[in-house]
Amino acid sequence: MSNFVVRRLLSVIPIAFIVLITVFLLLHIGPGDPAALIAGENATRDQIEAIRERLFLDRPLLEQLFLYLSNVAHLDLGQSVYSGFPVLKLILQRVEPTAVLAVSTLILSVLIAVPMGVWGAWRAGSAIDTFLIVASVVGFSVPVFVIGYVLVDLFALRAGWLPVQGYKPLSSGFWNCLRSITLPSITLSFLFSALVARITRATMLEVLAEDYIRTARAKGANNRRILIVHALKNIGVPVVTVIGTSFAALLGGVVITESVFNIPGMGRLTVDAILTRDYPVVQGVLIVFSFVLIAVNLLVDLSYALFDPRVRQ
Amino acid sequence: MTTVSSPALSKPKPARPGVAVSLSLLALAVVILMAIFGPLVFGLGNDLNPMMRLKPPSAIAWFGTDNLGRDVFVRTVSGARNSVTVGLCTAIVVLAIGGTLGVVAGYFNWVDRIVMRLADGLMAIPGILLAIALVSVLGGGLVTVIIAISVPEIPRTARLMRSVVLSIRELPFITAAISVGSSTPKILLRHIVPNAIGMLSVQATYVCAAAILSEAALSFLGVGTPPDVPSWGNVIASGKEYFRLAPWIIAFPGLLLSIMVLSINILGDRLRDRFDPRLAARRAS
Amino acid sequence: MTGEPFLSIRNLTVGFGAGGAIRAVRDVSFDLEAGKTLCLVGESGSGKSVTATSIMGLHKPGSAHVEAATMRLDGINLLECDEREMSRLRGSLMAMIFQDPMSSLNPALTIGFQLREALLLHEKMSTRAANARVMEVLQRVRIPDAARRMSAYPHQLSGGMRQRIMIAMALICRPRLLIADEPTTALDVTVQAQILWLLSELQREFGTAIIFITHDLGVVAEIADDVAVMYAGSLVERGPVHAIFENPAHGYTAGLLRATAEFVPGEPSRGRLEEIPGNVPSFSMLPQGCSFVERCRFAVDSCHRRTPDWRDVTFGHASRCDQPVAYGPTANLTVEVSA
Repeated sequence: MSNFVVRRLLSVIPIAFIVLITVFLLLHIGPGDPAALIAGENATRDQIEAIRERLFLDRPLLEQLFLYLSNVAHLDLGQSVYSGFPVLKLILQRVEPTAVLAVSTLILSVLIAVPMGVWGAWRAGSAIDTFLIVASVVGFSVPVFVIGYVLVDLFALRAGWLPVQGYKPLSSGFWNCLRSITLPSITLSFLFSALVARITRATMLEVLAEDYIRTARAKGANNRRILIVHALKNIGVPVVTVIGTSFAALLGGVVITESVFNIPGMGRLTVDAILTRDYPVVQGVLIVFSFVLIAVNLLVDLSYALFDPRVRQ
Repeated sequence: MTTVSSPALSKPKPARPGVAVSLSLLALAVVILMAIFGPLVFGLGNDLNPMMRLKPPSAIAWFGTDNLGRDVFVRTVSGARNSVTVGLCTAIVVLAIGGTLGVVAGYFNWVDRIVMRLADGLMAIPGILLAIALVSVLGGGLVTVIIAISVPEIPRTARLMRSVVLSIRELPFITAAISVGSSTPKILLRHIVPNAIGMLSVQATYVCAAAILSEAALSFLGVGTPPDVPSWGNVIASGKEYFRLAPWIIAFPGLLLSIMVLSINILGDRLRDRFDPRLAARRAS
Repeated sequence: MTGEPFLSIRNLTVGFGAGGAIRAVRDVSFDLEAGKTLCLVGESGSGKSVTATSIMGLHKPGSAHVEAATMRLDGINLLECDEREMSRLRGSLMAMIFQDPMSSLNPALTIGFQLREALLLHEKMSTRAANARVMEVLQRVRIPDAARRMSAYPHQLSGGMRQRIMIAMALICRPRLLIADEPTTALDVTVQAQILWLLSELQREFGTAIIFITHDLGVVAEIADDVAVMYAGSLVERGPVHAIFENPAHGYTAGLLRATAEFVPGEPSRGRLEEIPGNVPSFSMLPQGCSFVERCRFAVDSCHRRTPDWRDVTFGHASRCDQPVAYGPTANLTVEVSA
């Protein structure tokens, strides 16, 4: 068990390095001079030189990389070219809405998708199952922003139940915050729960066909007991795995959803930074998002031990 | 084994295309016709017409007009070209690079170690964010968008093809080919690649669908293809600020985009049912 | 004999596919007395497992059409039981052991949990009392270090050990009918012998009736009281094990015996195995007349024309063959039948 944990923790290191190197290289793969790229089209020669010096762009590439890595190790993600604030501070200011949106979507999706997938598999071939299959294909085919605008139109503009756009922070009260995040979460849940429900259904079908399910029936276990006691624990690993692998799509969806609903989160920060060519911010956001993704997948792997006794040894 | 032991039951049903698949093919055919002939017949719909701003759908402008008075119908029909181009080109680029990497990695252990490490690292960066960053560094344009969307998709495809190759490698006929002294390139091209084609085509449809969605997302966020060439994404983006006043700017391209991606995914699912070795094994048992 | 046999099956027919069109079991009838062992013999795909699964009511819901004139177990009409009543009988009155002990145990639950389950389901019993019973049964099936095994998971045990666990699990509520579906096929020969011995010991002790499904005639000779031979979904011969082995009265049974090495030792002239030519026909393409006709060395014209009826050979020994004399007596084969 501890062996497994250590091995898994160590495997994160090379992945994190590749992420950092990729993010660092971003500025250098473009066709032109990185300093000019950051300074923008109307910059003077002096401005460009100032940026070059400030970001150490005049040093050899390896030295730059080393400097960059050591800065990141000291939690220094550089300064915004646009506002001059430290990137980390800018990001931390924007973490809350993004985290609230991601977590609420995750919870909502799992609550919808897992029961739906299990139910569909249990009643395979029924009308409910067919509905589920259709709904999940539609769920990951319709773009997030299209779903977002449709929901806003129906529930905010026409019905008036929920605010159209904007975000209320947790400090304004939990319910206020929840109200402001409801439509964005539902929007994003379409995509995420479609992915999770699909895998849940497929896995459940496989598990229900297993010999040990027949053994349980032969012992006299009824349907409910078979489902809850014998089957559910065995779909744990594939289901948390798909939650992990789809989390990248969830984070991507967060960026778009924030744009649709005007939520001042990290996604908006990224888009704004790109439109203002504020590359240190872009790099910083990429690093933070990637590290969150790495951490989530690490947790997913470690959670295998909860479901599968073979991992625990 | 216990429930069904009759060989007759395991015969696959005769292949009928089914309603969903037929409709999908029809939808794709329409979109492809739009992509080819739309711009030729209707132009790009870039003519500004201040007198016609934000007009709802009517006999003159079937899908209404946008904030600059441009005809949404024309821009939507012509915008199909952008989506189709991005979808197809990305699928080709990703399959060529990712597929090759995957096949080679599946066959040579030392390549495997390097490629899979890199793939793990790249996959740790959320795809759409990486694509946004790449576009902004490389500069806008159709080619850049295709490159930016391809980069995050390549590792996934490489991984998939690697696992397919690894499972094919274990099959007896490969051992047989090795034992009669076939050369490695010959085994790869003659035996492994043909057997991987099925899964490769399934992956192609998924990459194509994902690329179309990504292009739309990039355009929607304002970093996609340039606004003077209509694409479904940037038509929708142009309606962002006005969606309370003029929902049609978003509705029609959004609907077309959804139908197209849905159709590709339905076809992909059908292909997967056909080619997935695991599913096939279950059918045969 | 009080008239009604312990288990009585009449005209069992099981169909799969649309409308049950593919009939995997046709018109199967047999009886079984309490405390006796019936071996169901036949090649894979002959309908043995489907027959057993039908008695247990274990087909996947909606997948099989089960019909029979009679299906009575211990005075209970199984045909009239709904799913709830069946699940009350399963595990208590009747239990089943499956072929592959690895896949038949739930990998995510402890051995102890899986063993206790039937007790907790069928007998109002505290977990503590159930554990005591489990320990007792584990010792009966000779699991060493039983207390420690309770918290183990299936993957931590060897194949033979797992099959003992399966047996313990099936016997925990002292069922009066035990169906064992090729329980030793996946095990190596020495373990196989131990398991068989264990089963017959437990049978003597609890008076359990056993339906033992196998294609291994060596195993049949070891444990059977009665034998029923299945071919392509139908019973073709049934009778006491001695009678069947010494005087097979159906071409298929005779073929099976000839294809088994152990039954021709010390007879140099007959010392080679004869295989049965051809393959089991698929259910959708059964030949006209006797279903074995195309592979039978003794087939005559009339075999092609009509399906033979049951015909008594000796008392309690019957065959569905119109010319049972043709094969025998193969009596001079040395058959070692242990009682």
